[in-house]
Formats: sequence, structure tokens, C-alpha cells
Amino acid sequence: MRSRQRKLAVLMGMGMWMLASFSGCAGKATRPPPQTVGDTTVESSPVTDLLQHHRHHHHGGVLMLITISLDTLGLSPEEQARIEEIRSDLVAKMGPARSDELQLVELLANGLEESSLDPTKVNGAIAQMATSSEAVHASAIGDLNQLHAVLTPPQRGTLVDKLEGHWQLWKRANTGERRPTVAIGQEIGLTPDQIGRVQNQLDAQTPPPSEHENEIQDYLRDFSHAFRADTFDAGTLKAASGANRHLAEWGATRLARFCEVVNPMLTGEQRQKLVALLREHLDHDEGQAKE
Amino acid sequence: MTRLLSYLRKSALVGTLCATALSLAGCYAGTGYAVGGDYDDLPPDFVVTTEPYYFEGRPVYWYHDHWHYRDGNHWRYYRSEPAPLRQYRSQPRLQRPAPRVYERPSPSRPPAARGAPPGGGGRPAPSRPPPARGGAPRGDGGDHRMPRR
Repeated sequence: MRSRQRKLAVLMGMGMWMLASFSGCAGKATRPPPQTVGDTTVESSPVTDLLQHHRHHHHGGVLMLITISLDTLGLSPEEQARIEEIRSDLVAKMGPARSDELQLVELLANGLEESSLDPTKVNGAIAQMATSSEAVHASAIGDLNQLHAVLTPPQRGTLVDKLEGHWQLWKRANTGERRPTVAIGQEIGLTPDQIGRVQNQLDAQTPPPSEHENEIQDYLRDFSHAFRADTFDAGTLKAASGANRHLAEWGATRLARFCEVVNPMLTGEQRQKLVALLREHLDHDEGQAKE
Repeated sequence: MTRLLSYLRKSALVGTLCATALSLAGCYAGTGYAVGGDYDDLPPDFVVTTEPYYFEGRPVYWYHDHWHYRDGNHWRYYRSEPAPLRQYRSQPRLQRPAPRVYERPSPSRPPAARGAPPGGGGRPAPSRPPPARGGAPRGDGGDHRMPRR
């Protein structure tokens, strides 16, 4: 009897041990620590580069995020060469929207230089850029279809992962911890008090962009689902044009509102720095080889 | 009493076998290798700046001493490093062309050097066309840190 009880105890103990051993396999694991890089602390970080790009360049909307996602797919030289052709086409298709964005930024820089921003002109330039960004999807349908055809299913999955990552970075650079008030504010030497006052005014006047964000999010989900599938037709993605418009308009508006609000608070040196910063970014949107 | 003991023993056996089977299913999760837990995301900073390596028909990333891959809405990692991936990591990486740079690192640069055209306005010269890129899959060469450009 004792022997049986002992056997039973041993058996149950083994069962408990095995359960404990394997339960950790499929359960929630400790999440790897984030590798967030602040813009101003690691100046050579590739993430800094991308955050700045996402803060200053919005033309093309989601299509710009897709285009940047092509940079790190991990392809063979032959595959990458083919992708570069498609990438160049996509950049060209976004050309009109880029021109409109340059006009907007020039308008902001010139207005700041003269301490006088014309809200009507600024809003008109934003609307123009949003409209041209809305149009890019129709012209890029063939390129997106080609992209799907050239990539293998795992590579398509990689593109979708990159796209989602860039969307997260875009939000951080425009509405999150590295939004213009903080990132540009630090770059041009705003005091904490100035940053606080700018942020308060922006919070009071900028409506919550939840509808735009939801539309963009929905389109990203639709695109991701469609692009992972074996067959793909970008022409069926009806939400694309609206999402491109919203992203472009949203980002450009936040930058413009920041300029308008900070304009009367700037010292001479801060003004000079902001104007120079805006003009510097006029030349930075297509990606260059590192020298 | 004997019946009761027999019943308990059988129950324990069946329960243990079921639990083991379920656990193992989770551990291997459709791969031939033991996998670890899941979590919502790899940091987007890492994903967007790192080239994956392709293994078992999917992109995998070496991050914090494990190979990670997406499984539906979650990321998982291999509990122990599959031999082909270990071999891949041990190989010298082929030289890759420099990745694209979108912006210049402006924080440390004086304002005068930030490309403001002389005399104020005016549009700077257009960007150079992007160069063709290529090279073998980069992975990250066994380094779990953020790759530097």
C-alpha cells in the first residue's frame, strides 16, 4: 500500500514537473527591451534619420511609407536591382506631391523669416499637397502590382512588417514623443517654457485626428492582408487614396500649425535656426547614398 | 482504496500526457524547432532598419540573442538556435552597399551649415538619384544591437 502511494506520488510529481517545464514555452514571454533612440542623443542612428524624414516629408502619404519599406527587405542583388526600378517609378509618381510639399515648406520658411505667416496661403498649400497625394495611388497601381509579382510570399510579409514599423515611427515623429514641438523645439533651442506654451496652444486648437488615424489604420490593415495573398490588385484598394491624403494632410498640418504658433515666440536666433532647418529638409526626401 | 488509487494513477498519467502534448505543440508552433514565447511586437525601430534573413519560408531577425519571426499577429523566437541559422551567423557577411540616408544628422551641425541657401529663399538643388543597391541578405551578422549606417 505504501509502495503504491509512493509510486503515485512520484508519478504526480513527474507530471507537475513536466507541466512546469513546458508551460513556459508557449506562454507570454518577457518582451525584449525597446531600443528607442531619441533624435538628439544618437545623431548617427538610422532611426533618427527616419524620424526626421517622417516629421518633415509627408507627400504621397502611405505610399511614401511603402517606398521607404523597400530599403531593407534583405534581397539578393538581382532582386534588389528589380525593386530599385519599381522604387524609382514610385518616387517619380510622387513627384507632383513632392513639388507641392516644397512649395508649402518654402511658404513656411519665407513667412517665418519675415515673421508673418499667411494662414490662408498656408492652408491652401496644405490642401494642394493633400490633393496631389490623394492622386498618387491611381498612378502607382501598376507599380504596386509589379512589386507584388516580383516579391516572394516571405518577402511580401517582410514588406508588410516594415510598413507597420514605419507607421509606428511616423506617429512617434508627428504625434508622439518626437513630435515637432519637442524635436524641432529642441533643435532650434526653444526653452522648456516655450515648448510648454507651444504645446498648450496646439493642444487647444488641433482637433483630435482619430478619424484620420482610423482610416489610415484600416487601409494599412487592408493593404497588408491583400499584399500577403497570392493574388493582388492594388486597384481594388479603395481606401488607398483617402489614406494617402489624410496622412499627407495630417503631417503637413501639424508642421504648419507648429510654425504658426511658435512664430510670435521666437527669438532672432531661434527664428534663424527654424528657417534654416525647414530649408535644409527641402532637399532630403528621396534617400541618398551615405557619403 | 485500491480502486481509488488506480483511478488517480490513470488520471495523472492521462493528464500528464495531454499537458505534455499541448505544451509541445506550443513549443514547436509549426516549426521544426523549439520556439519561445510570444509578445506583441519587435521594436519598430529595429524592424525598419534591419534586413531579415529568410529561413523556413519566412523572414527572421536576430535580436537580443534570439532569432525572431512573425507568427500571425505575434512575434515568436526560437528557444534554441536552429543549426542553419547558427551557421549563417557564423559566416562572414558580404560587403553591402551603404544603406540610404534620408536626412542629415542635424543636431550637431551649426545652423549655417544646414543647407540654407545663401540669401534666404530658393530651392536647393534636387537630390541625386538613389543608387542601385544589392548584396547578399544582410541579417545583422550576429550582432543584436541596432545596425549603424
